[in-house]
Amino acid sequence: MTAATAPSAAPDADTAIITARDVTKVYKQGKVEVLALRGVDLDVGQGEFVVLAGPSGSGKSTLLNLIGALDHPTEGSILVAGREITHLSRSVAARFRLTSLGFVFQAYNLVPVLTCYENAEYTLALAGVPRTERRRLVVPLLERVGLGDMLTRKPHELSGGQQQRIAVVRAIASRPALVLADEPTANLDSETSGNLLDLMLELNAEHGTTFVFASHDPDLIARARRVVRLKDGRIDGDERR
Amino acid sequence: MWKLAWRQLLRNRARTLITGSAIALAVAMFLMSLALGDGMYGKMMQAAERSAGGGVLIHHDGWWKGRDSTANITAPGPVIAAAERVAGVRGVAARVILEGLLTSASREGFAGANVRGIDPAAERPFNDLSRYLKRGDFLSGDDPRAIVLGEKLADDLSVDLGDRVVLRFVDATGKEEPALFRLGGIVATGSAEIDRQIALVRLATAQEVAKLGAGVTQIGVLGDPGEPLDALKADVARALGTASAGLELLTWQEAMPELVGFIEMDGNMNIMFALVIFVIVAFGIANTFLMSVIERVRELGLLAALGVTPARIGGLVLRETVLLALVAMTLGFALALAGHAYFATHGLDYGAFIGGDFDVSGVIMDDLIIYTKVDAPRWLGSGAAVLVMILLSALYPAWRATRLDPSQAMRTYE
Repeated sequence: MTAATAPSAAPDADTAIITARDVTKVYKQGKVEVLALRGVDLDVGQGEFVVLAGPSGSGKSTLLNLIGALDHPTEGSILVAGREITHLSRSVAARFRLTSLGFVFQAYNLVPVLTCYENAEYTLALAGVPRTERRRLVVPLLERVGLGDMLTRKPHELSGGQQQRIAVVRAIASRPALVLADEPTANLDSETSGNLLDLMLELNAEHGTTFVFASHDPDLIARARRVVRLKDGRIDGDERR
Repeated sequence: MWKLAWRQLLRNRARTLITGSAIALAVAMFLMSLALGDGMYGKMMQAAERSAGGGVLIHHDGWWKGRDSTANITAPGPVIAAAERVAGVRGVAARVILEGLLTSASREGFAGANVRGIDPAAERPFNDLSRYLKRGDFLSGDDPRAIVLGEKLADDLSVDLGDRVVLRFVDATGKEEPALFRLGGIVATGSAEIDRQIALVRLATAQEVAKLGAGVTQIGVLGDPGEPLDALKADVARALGTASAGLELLTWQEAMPELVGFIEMDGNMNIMFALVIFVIVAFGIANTFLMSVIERVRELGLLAALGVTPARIGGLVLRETVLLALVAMTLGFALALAGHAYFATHGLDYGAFIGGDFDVSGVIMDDLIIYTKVDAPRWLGSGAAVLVMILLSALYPAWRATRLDPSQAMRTYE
């Protein structure tokens, strides 16, 4: 896989896909309250390729979870793809994630008992997409990421990089408006990490899919088009390239 | 989701095998206990029928309640003949039952007793107590006043063979009379309770001492083992025709409802015991699936993060339970049917486990080769109940799975 060149689908920063206003998140750890986010404002436009960067404990994963409707903010509001997701019920939030978002996590991304292909098509199957249509969408993507001959393998038979590529295919197979990735390269060597990043840049360029990462991987940060830096639960910098 | 559930089960094969085996064995044992219980129930009912003196008991109207010899069947011949004509009847026996107080002639002991005047040959199809003769003879000697007593009753009266015993009772004329007998035989059934009740004399002797003439107090009719008693009773009544006037016909179950109740209670206790086993198994299943949920917090969290609703995640755990239960229960049913196929023909020698005969509420269980019986609706009903119990045991783990917070779950084990 080669490094991605300039995108053909230009980001549309005017069409906000994420609008977060005054977002605060307080966790309770026993009797101690931990202020993970302190009044964060963030706008991300359609087709952007954004990294939320910062050291551990800066609040980047917390913000990503809130944008992904995996958690509720303590205060503030979040709109994703024009939908207010601040206080969705668990069931509604799950349906929202299924239909509107793609996720790539740091590790344990795949369901161990499903094959490479079944993992890649999982969210499509959940959404009720017919079998033939799922195959039509997923197989070319798996071939493209070099896993076309590993469709029936189980996750434990694949390398970490191969597993992450399947996770990326799963995240984009349903053509979501937004893909969220939490430290997707953290457990990969630099070459594998670079290849994965190339893939996501290509997909971002081809489909205009918005990617938002939480990461402190310098290589990933270096190649992002926008870097939002967080420190102590606040936005400490917002650099567009 | 079904595919995912099935693969989850295959993923941890050792745990699935152990849990499935526990369910299969518990189901098989439960069903076999039902089949053996039904077989035992049938045997107990037959034993009780013989012990009671027949499936249908014929008395003079009112005798059964009052035990008054003045209310006797004065002309038993036509009644016996009519009963013997009924199809399927295996035995008809006339008896004189005298309630009174037995004392030893030396007055060293006394006991309330039902002295039964019997024809030993006629009694053989019913409850042949001659099998338990320990000493002396079973009303086959020359002494017309011979009496056969149970060993414990003889002990209570402090009498031995040749000793005299006196029965004080009310005869057919309504007078209280003493009747003298000599101990001719002692039987020992192995049951102290039963051995305290046995007091037998010849039918003719009982008729004589009670001034009954040819009259008797009871005629017992023994039908085919499989024939419903109500049908036998109706057949006997039909055969008696006008001769049934002034007579009372009772099935033994009508005559001794408390014995029926006791036998049924015994059967219900077996079911209760089996259910207790299942409750214990159910807790084991709940624990297994709870462990499975706890072990897979991260994985279930991933499903939630990908968009699987809490209800579907709980449903996944329930699906795993249903699949495991159905496979294991099918195996359990197969094992039980195999067991039934063997024990229905070869029988299970229950006596070998308990070391001989036993009695239930005064009924000697001497035929303890138990053949299993399958009551299909009961088996299917029990299977459904077991399935419900297993599903109930999985409700808590499933509920726990629905409560997983995906953001927390995804952090687990990071």
